[in-house]
Amino acid sequence: MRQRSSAIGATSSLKVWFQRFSFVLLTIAAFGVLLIGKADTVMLSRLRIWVADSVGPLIHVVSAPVETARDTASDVQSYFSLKQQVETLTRENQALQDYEQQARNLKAENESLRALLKMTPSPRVTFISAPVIADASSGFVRGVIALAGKENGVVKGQAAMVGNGLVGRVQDVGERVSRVMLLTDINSRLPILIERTRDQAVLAGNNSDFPDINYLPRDADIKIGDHVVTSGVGGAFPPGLPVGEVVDVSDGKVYVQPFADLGRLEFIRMVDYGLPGVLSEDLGVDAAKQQTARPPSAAVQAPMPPKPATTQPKLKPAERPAVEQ
Amino acid sequence: MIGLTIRHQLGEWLRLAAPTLVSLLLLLISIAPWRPFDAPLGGSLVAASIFYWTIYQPEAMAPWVAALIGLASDILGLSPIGLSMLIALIVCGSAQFWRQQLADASFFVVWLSFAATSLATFFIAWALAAMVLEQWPDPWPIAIQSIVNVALYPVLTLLFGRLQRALWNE
Repeated sequence: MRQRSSAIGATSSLKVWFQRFSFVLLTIAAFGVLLIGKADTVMLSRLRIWVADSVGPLIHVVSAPVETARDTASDVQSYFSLKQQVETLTRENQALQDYEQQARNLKAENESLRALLKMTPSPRVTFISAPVIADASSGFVRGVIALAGKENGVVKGQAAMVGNGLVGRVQDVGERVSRVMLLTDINSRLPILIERTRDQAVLAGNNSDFPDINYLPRDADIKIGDHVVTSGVGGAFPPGLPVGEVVDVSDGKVYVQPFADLGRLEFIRMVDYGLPGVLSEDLGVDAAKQQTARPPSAAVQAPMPPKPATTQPKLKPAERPAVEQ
Repeated sequence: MIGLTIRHQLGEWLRLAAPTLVSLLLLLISIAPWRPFDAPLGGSLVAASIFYWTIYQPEAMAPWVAALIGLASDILGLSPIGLSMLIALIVCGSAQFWRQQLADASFFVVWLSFAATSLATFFIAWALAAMVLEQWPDPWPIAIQSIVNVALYPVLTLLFGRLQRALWNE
């Protein structure tokens, strides 16, 4: 009896001690988690993608009314500018028809020249369209979660794009969802080229809406309005993908506004250019696994066609971006 | 009689779980793909929830609950893991420290205290993020989060108050 009461006394004093020092203990635990997160990034990214995979459908359900509200507001806004939009679209359509004709001529010319030179064909470009279900951005990082994962054919390192430009790259892939690191993320580094001057540099994210350009040659003559495209250095992305436009050149810094509206992403396309890239060590493991899973020739020539992703069907080849180099 | 006991138990459970569930729902709303203020919300709405429930229903928002909500925010978002956990603890701790005074204070005083806490967490978060990321991140997006957080506090308080009245009959 006495033993039992002393055990209860010890438990209750432990409880009181824990309650008194819970803040200190939990704060130490939080610092421990900070350190573990810094030390073991692979485990952390696995945990994150596992959680995102598990709660992905729930996030989709919660974000549905928000998306509906956003779409309704956008519809109302566009209704009032309908006339102006029709005029703009008519002009754009005319210009695009001209471009289409030019592209057809160039494609035919390109094919005949390739045949003359006996060049090996470029790897086929495939892509998967997926809705963005979460904006996982904060003051510290910039990223989104898309509703397409391994089971749809998404692979780590693929380029994430929207119609008018590059968005970022696939950072983690779960079974049903994938995380995309945006160009504006503080950890994003993208080899780029200034289209007009052909100067090569690196676009570095800084968590603001305007990433800046690093490692520009000293004599580079950069002007506001210059277009920035991928340089293809590193082999992660092919050269020539549209990235953004120079909007500010001040204090030795060059700031770029991405063509893609990264704050209002609804659908993104994960594009597989068949390039192995040199993004990270664990990407190398993923790529090696894939190479063993399918014949090498198939991996290079014709990447496995992904399953239809989600609500967005795979687009027809004619609608694919003209990125084959 | 048994039905009444079960109902009572369910009510108790709901009262204990409601603040956590509300905080998690706010977290999911925060990461929905929209930007009403032209900046990512991150998990900023969660801080208001932790602050409110720690003052008015402390038994339902223990420090470990706040820490777990912060951790969930870290895992679901992309902020350095442990950072939101630490911020959640700071918010919970400051609310608990001033609880006796704030529980009976006017709304304006509570709001002002929350603004002061948000300001403190902004500087702590910025410094810690710089330490973890090994570079100074742009402070503006973090500042916007804090401002949005403080600005939305009255609206959120209204909703929390209604829920509190419904569950606790207060």
